[in-house]
Amino acid sequence: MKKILAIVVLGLLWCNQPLMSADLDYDKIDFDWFNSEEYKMAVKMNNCKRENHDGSYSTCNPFNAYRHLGN
Amino acid sequence: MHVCKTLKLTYYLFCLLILIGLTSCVVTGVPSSLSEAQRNACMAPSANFQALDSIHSTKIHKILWVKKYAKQTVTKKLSLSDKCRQTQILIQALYGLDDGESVSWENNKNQTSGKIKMLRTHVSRGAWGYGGCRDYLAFIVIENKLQTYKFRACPHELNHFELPDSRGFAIPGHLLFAGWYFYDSRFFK
Repeated sequence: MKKILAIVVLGLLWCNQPLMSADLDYDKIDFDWFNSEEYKMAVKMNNCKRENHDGSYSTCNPFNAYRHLGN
Repeated sequence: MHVCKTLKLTYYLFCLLILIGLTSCVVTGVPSSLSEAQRNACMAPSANFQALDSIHSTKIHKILWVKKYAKQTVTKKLSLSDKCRQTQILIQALYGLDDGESVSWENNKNQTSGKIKMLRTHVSRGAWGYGGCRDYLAFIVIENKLQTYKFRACPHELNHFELPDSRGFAIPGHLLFAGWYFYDSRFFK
């Protein structure tokens, strides 16, 4: 019974981590994140993929160019 | 007899409520704070480290992940706004800063702050090297307590989530976000 209780308490804490947040307004974003260049970049790069010569897919990250400079 | 029945019913109702509360999270294994960060694209690995590291541990350890799950449930975490701030400077740093440069944020209201310092950009010597990867340090301060993380961010092929560590073991990344796979640098000494 004690084991089950421990698992339930741990599970509740795990699933409700906002309780451990440093801010009570945990789920509100207090600055204009969604109009920032960085947010747009993150979303764009999350959705973007590019096909390679061998048929595999890469991220559209420009740093991919550094992968073969030494070859 | 009647009291006993009522107690039993209350007990079952209580268990059912807890089960409903846990189900969505337990099925996915993703805590609400992490899924909230995911929904808002505020996924800087340093800002979500405890949750990501616990999930990551289940892939490589047999027992240690239990300890990490337990530890992360009682650790102070950043608010969603601060996670987004850390993500904002991370994107700036990874795509815009040269090696050795740094960028930071501060939130006086929550007594929190963060900083990213770019360390090194790797150039590949072969197709499967660390080419394109960028090593960086991430700092987070919550109520005067400093947390330091070191990550390797790599722009590799999609679905190639594993990177060989210094002993040749394949280490899965913590996360794919904003065009980068993020790996904990502790594995690549």
